[in-house]
Amino acid sequence: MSKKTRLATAIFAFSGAAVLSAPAAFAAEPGAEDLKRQIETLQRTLGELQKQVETLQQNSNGATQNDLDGIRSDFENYKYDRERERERETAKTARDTTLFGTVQVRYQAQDRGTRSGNPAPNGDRYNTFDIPTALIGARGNLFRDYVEGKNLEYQLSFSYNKRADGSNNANLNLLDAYVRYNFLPTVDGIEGDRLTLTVGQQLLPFGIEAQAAEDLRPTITTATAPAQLGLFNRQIGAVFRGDFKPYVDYAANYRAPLFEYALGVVNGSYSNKLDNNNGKAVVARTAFTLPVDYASWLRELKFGLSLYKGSKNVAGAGGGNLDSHGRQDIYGFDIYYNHAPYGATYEYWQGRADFANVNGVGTGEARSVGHTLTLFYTFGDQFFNSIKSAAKFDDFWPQSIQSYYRFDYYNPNSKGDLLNTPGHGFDTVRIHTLGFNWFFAQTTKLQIGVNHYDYKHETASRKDYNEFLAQLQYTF
Amino acid sequence: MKKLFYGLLGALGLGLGLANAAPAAESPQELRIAISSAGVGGKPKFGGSWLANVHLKRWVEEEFEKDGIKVIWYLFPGAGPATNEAFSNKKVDFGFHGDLPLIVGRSTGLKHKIILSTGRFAPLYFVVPSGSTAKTIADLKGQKIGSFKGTSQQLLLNRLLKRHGLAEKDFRVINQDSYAARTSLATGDIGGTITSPWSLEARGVAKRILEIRDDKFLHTPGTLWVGEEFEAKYPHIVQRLVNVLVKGAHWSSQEENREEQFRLWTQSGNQYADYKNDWSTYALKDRHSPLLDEYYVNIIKNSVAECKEFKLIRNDVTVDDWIEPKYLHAALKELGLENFWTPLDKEANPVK
Repeated sequence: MSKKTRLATAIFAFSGAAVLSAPAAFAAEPGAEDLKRQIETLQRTLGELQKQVETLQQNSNGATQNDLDGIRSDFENYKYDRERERERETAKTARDTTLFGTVQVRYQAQDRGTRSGNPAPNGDRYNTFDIPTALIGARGNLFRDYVEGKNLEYQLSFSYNKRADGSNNANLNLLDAYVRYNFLPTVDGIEGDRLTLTVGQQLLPFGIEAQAAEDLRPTITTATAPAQLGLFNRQIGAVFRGDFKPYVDYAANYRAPLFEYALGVVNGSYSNKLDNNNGKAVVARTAFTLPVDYASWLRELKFGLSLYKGSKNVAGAGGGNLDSHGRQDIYGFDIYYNHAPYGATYEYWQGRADFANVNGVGTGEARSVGHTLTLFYTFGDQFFNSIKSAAKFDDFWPQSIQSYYRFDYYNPNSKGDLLNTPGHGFDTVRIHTLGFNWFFAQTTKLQIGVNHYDYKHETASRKDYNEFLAQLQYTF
Repeated sequence: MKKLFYGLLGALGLGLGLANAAPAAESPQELRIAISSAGVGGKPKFGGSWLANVHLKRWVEEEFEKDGIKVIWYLFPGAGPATNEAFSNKKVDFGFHGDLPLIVGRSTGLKHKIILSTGRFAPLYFVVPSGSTAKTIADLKGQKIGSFKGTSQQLLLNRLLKRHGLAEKDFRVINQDSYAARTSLATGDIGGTITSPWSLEARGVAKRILEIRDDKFLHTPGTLWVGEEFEAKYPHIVQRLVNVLVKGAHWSSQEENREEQFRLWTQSGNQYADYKNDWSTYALKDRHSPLLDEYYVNIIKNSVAECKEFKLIRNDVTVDDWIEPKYLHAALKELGLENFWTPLDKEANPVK
């Protein structure tokens, strides 16, 4: 029997006893004073019992009307605060949007004086601070398909560029401006195939490093060949990307698409520009990943082939156009291996491009060749999905130090002096880089690197040199 | 600068050499325990087993702090697959797993030894949105079913479907963790899922179309393992840990601690009502058994066979050489608990 029930029974019994005892009292013919005292006693007792009932009600687990009124009032206050906050203090967009950005702050020192990068120098410099990258953008969903996940997404970003006129001003140039549609369902988890179409200005699906956005590139300076061949430039066009036959190891939620592919058409005239001739560039890529379990030492071993086939305007010495369908082809082969803590990437590029001969008569083909080998060894846990997604209350993020060595080679014209000037002003170069990336917060890393540049043909203005770089990169 | 370059190269080589030449110690500096579960919204708390009580009451920390051994609990919202990923990369020494990721991990070459069971039996509910017209699972043919693939939920779903003459291919099974699946039930984005219904029903967003409470072969027991390398190096530490854990299982099995542990588990963000109702028809002692008895061995063997049948593993898995009961036996003896939990035979009958 609960306390409440016992109390109610006691009240009932007490009242009953009082009523039953009444005839006996009359039988003894009590005086008016006695009756008055009995009534007063009864009233006091009832009052005490009433207080006990109220106390029990207050101490019971059930909510009282006051409790409910209090919660209702709190809830109304909360709703009011939220409405006002949203109205006055929240940036709003018409669609789901995420703001993002990347900033790099760099210190560079070298053992040979240089004036490179400054259009109006007063003398050589041996070291400088720099902001090589500062970009901001937004990405989100234009249409969200809740049933299949065939979403329509967008990305828009801008990056600053130093002006080449010697002023202290900068330009804000358009980087990404595209919409992407997912043709295949994305709600089926990691077993499904993927197919997207991206239309607009975007990175090219070529090789490994050229596809990586600014914040994801592993080294402070990029590989020479894709930079010289223009592969880091975004282009305007339409590109299909997808994969099929993914090998899934649910033991570790590991997905290895057996075949990845990309096929697209772009202007071939680089960023923020209409096409400069009547020929479009075709870009294609395929990659094969070994279908092995996550625990295998061969996991994340991928082989890729890439092709860029474009046409260029070949300008003559006098500024005239010698050929508006000049060759501009790039072939690529890459190997990617990532088995933490070890990692390695290798990329090979071969470019074939027409140039005007130095004598101004006709055109010739330059065949450029580049290789980049990068070896990684990582200390720390940031690259393990399990550890970095572990449940936590605070801003915990596992730290990692990724040490690496890179060998970078680029020969702008393996045909030698066909055009009479090796590499049209750029020489064959070998670059050895030793460095590390310290990932000390979720989206922030400190990068330290030492580069040794070894040119095949040293000139008065181009000599071998060594360079020290320290860069802090943050993204949000 | 060239000297600096080659100096750095040398230092890196030396650093790598030193890192690989760390001397062996009698005790580890850390005990790293992976839990294939986490609280609502990624809270580092979990509930529903005696292991959760040991974690929430910090009993392992108390045991090892006098030796300066740091205890690190990794609670993975990515559940069993995340635990396997971490163990593959030598980031954890002990793991708490459901049957499917445990078996799949071993089938792909992970080396560990099963040292304890973390509990057994549970009710099973198949829950659909409150507006659903489905009366049976078969009524949901062709619809989306939420399941956390790679976890024991996937094997449980396959097992349940088979009993109804159905298979995954009869539905569109999408990969969702349990919290996402509960949200999808509320929004009607899936046809149904296996989950605890009580708090969802109280909100009026979902309802049960199936409830099974007395089947001892639907849910499989939870498992705690130790990495073979760690066990070979520090068997005395494994024994001390098992002693603490068995003590925790004993405390959890006391009926007078029923309410306290349900309230502890709500720190995970899950509802008290779910725990109270899910456990209402069971004796704590039955569900919190840490024993590796015939019932445990048999049901894990069944799970291995089912994994092969449902094509969830590609390689064979042996069970008898996987289980290492000596730590459990020593702990039961030391704590005088040899007769506290009743071992079950293959058919889940008490062994007299």
